[in-house]
Parts: sequence; C-alpha cells; structure tokens
Amino acid sequence: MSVPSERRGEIGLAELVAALRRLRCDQFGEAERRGEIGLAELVAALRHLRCDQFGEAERRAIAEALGFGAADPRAAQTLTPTPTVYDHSQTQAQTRSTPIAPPPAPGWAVPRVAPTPEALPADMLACELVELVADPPDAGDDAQPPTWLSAGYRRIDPQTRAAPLRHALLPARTARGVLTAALATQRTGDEIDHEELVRCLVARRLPPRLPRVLAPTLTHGCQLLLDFSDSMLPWWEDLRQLARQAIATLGAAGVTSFHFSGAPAAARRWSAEREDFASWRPQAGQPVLVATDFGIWGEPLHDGAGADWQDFVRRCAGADSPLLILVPWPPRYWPADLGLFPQLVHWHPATTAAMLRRQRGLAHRVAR
Amino acid sequence: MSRYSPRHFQLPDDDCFPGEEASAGNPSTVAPYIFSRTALIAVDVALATERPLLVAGPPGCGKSRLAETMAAVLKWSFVRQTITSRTRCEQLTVEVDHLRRLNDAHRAARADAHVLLKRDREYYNPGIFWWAFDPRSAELRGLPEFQPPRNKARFPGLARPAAAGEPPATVVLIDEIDKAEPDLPNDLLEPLDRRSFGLPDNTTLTADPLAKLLTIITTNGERELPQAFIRRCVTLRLEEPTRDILIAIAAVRAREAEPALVAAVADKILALRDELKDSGRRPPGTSEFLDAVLTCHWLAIGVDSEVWQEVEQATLRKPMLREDERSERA
Repeated sequence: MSVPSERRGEIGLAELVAALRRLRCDQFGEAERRGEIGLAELVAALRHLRCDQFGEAERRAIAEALGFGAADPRAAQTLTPTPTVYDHSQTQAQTRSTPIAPPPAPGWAVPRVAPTPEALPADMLACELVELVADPPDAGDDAQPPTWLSAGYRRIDPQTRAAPLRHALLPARTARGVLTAALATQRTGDEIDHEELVRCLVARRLPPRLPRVLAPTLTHGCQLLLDFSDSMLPWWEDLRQLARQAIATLGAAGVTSFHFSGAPAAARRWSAEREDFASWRPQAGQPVLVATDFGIWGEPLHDGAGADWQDFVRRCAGADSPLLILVPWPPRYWPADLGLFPQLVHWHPATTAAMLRRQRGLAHRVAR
Repeated sequence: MSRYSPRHFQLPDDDCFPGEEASAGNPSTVAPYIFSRTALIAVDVALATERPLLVAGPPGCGKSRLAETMAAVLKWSFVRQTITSRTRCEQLTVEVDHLRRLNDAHRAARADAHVLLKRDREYYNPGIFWWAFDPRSAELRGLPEFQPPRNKARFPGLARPAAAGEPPATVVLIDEIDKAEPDLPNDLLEPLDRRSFGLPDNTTLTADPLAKLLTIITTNGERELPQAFIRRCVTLRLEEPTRDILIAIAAVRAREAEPALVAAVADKILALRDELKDSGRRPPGTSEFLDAVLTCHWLAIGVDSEVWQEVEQATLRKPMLREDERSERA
C-alpha cells in the first residue's frame, strides 16, 4: 500500500515492496480500470479454462455467464404486476401509428415534405361483390353450407408487417435516473454533519443530538396515480411502462398503483384480496407520482386545472407527501393555478434527472 | 450431459461439497452444498476472469451460501456485508470513527491528554474491501509496521490464514445488493474495477497485486441494477430446484428424515409453487422446504396428518397481513 509514514527508519524490505507497488501505480497514473466485459475477456476465459476440452454446451454456458448471448437476467425475474395497471380492461394497448414529429427547425419555415406513401402489397386480391342469398329458415340439419364459404380465398398473413417502433416517453436509458431523482426523499443519514458540529462547538453550544448529514432515500416508495382517461389514450402504453419502470426502480413492495379518470383524488386500485376497489388516500411522507394531461385533449388550459386538482394538491400537501406530476405536454399547456407545492415535469424522452433536480432547486428557492 | 470439472477448485464427483465441521482454528460450520452445473461454470469463469459474480435468484435458493461454501472449498478467508438501504460505500471500504475521536478529545481536554491519538489513521475502521485487498494493512489501519496503531483492527469475518509465503486470498460476499439505494452499485464500480479506493487523507489504497479475490454479490431482483454494473459482472441465475434436486438436498442437509417423508414434502412444495405463483405470491424456497422436512421429522408427523395444515402455514405458506389490512392500520 502506498502509505507514507510519519517517521521512517532505515530502508527495509517493506519499503522496497511499497515502492514497487507505487511504481506500478505510477506507471499507469492510477490503477487500471477494467471497464465492461468485452469479447477479449470471453476469449481469455475460454483459453484460461482450456475450452478445447469442452463441448459446445460448456462454451455456451461460459459465454452466457459473461453476458454474451444470454437473456437479460432481469428479464427472467418475475415482477409482480400491479393489477390496476395490467388488468385495465377498458381497451387493449394502443400503439402510436405515426412517429413523433421532429421539432421545427429554427429560421425560415421549410415547406413540409409530403410523406412517402406506404407501399401496398403487390399481390392485391381481386374482389367482386356478390349478393348473398339467405338460406330458407326451414332448411333443417341436412342443409348445405353456403357456396361462398368454400370458395377459394387466400388470407394475407398479418405477421409479415413489422409493428411500428414506439418511442417511449421515458426511455430505458434514463428511466432509472429520472425516477430516482423524482421520488427520492431526504432522511437523516449515518454520516456526521461536521460543519454543523464545528459550528456548535465554536459557539460553545452542546448540540441536543449528534448532527447528521441528510441523505436521499427511496425507502418511502411512492404512490403512482395513472390517468387512464380518454384524453390520455395515446399514452396508455406509456402509463403501463411507467408502472413497470417504477416497480423496477423502487421494488414491487415500494409502489402502490392507482388509476383515475377525471378527479385524481377519486383514484382507486383493484384489491385482489378484498375483491373490490380500494380508494386512494395520501400516506404521510410518501411521494405521489401522477401521470396525467389534466384532460386537456391537446388544447392549452385557460381556466386552470380546476377545483378537483386543487383539492388533490391540498390533500397531498396536508399529508406532507411530495407531489410530482408528469405531463406529456410542454409547459405552455400546464395549469397555473396549482401553486408551488406540486412539481410539474414534462414527460418527454429528453427529460433527465439533472433537469428534475435543477427544477426542484429553483422551486425551493422561489418558495423561500 | 458430461460433468463439468472446474479448473480452479475441486469437488467430489457428485458435485456436492460435503461440508466443514467446526474446529479449533475454525469456529464456524459450513453445511453441505450441492452445486448445479451452471453454478460450477459461473464460479469458474469468475475466478478465471477475476470479475465479481452477480448471483440472482428467488429467496432461499442458496445464493449467499454459495459464497460461504466457495470460501470453504477454496480454503480462503470469508467476509460478508449485508446491504441495507442505509449502507454506504464507505462502510465497505473505510470509515473514520469520529465518535471515538470526539470522545478521546473530550477526555484529553479534561485530564487524560495521552488518550487522544494524534495520527488520523488510528481512527480508521477498515471495511471488507480493505480486508480483502490487503489484510495486513487493514489490521494496522494503514499505519506502518514499525509504528502500529494502539488498537489493531479485528478481522470481521472467518479468517483462514494463507500458508507462509502465499498471498492473501478472500471470498467477499456482498449480500442483497438490491436493497441498497440506487447510487451504491455505481459507487462500488471503483473498488470492483480498479481494486483500489480512496482513503480519507486523499491517498489511495491499492490491492496487493498478488492477493486472490472472489467477490460474490447477491440480488433477489426486487430492484433493477444499473446496466453498467451488470456488464462488469459474471452473472449466474439460480433457479428453483426441481423435485429430484430437492430430494438430493434433503439427503445431505436433513439426513435424519425418512426418504418417503422428504418426497412427500417435495411434492407439496411443487404443488404450492404453482398455486402461489398463480396468485402472485412468493413460493417457498429451498430453506423453507428443509424447515418443513425437519419440522415433520422432529414432530413425527406426515403430510397427511391433521397437524400438517398448521405446519404448512407456518413453514411454507406464511400468510402475513393482507394488503388492505395494512392499509387500514396505516
């Protein structure tokens, strides 16, 4: 170990070993960082383990242990789904049929280029309208099936067309960071707050308890309120994905999901054990994450969010539950009558954890 | 499928580590352990590549015991740290005992001037990585041999001293990393990648280049781990054991139980797995299976007795408060 001592005697073997180790570090500036597992590591492992004596199964197992060709270990884990999200039986998952329009380029508006028409299948089937004649009502059991039923036809396989790519509002690469930043609360950590301690000692004041540095934590979990109203229809799949991402970040035990349509305070969840809906109510200190568009149908709000939302914010504030609202529309569509307590965030692929932290810092400064 | 013979350690032909009894120099007992083929290969790969082994799997499937067993198989020292939501990286590397220092300062201010130790390092508490990287330095709290600390640090795990001239060798278990706050896995990248970490006096402690190290990290999968972390680990997923493996495990862990009883409880376990999975609840693991077998054996009851329902509730089903009851209490 490269540790200078206070008093150094004659140079001995220990010093020589220490010097050699230090030289090794100096050679690289700092200890060599190995980084992620790569192909070279796989080759080295196969050579080291003398793979020529193995069969294909062993080689495959070694590659999988190093993360090559193996399924994502997280994929195998069973995340307990939240029934209210996954059993939402009002409709099937809606997928976006057109890609998100790119932001307008600065400067002069460029004439919009007409999209390329989608190519139709080459083997269009000839069709002919044929008037169907109903069978007589007293045909009996020996009636013959209608001729059109056995006529030659060919079905176009729907699987030949790939499903359109869906851009998630919270991409996988940022979801963990964004949700961590959004849902972290402060608690007293284990680390001693030296500055506060020194301040007390200098002032000749004995602190009533040992001051500790506040540390962010996710132990409070969160309540997830998902707006499954018709106005949010384009984002229903994103709502389901948000629930999955929240569970992956906080753990299944930390997330309680509710759904609502209209007044958020009327949110509820299906309780499998009670076989009935359970109503939402804020839990003291537990963050509340809402995903909604305030039912605006894409039109800017002129009259504010309304009494339901104000009442909802009041209840969260009363329970001291931090409230964060994800809105899929940009800030000009957001209501201005909810005050400073809720943190409104643009639910967008470009949203990052740093933006949330900065926004929260600004809000606190304004509130002070 | 042919048997896999690991290159870095040896096991009997049945891939079952027979266990280790407590002795004068070794106060702990290590129970027998049956290695799956996948586990054998993954551990061998982790030793070959000197990468940490990330073990995932349902609770009670033997993730933590794999580390303990490997330490016994390799005859290496063993240290472990169970992660909680309050665990910080400093606890795994080095912490400064400020409270002891403050106490010494108070005492020194009164009368015992000699109590206060002047060197900062006297107050260093080495974590498991320090012990694994350089146990001698950890024992001396980073101070030189010729000026050792007043109180030497104590090894926090099971020490199996290396033979004379041999480098130190340690199995490190970081248990239940999914319970940690999200930043901790990223904080561990430096000690895992570089085998070094910073000390509070801005020097760097680097591992003995000859030191042997096997780091085993377990997760129950309750939370997702960062991709950057997963990509630096050799991964192993321990699946729920099949009926035959359950019976084989009971044969070495609950030798006193009758084979017929073991088979009957194993059948109950399989049935319960299907039933509980359908209802979204956690199925019983291997350790719970052994609990049930031993309970039946010592209470002399079978799975068809009247008491079995109670035993099943207590050892396998474990019904807790219902969700709505919890909510109402809150």
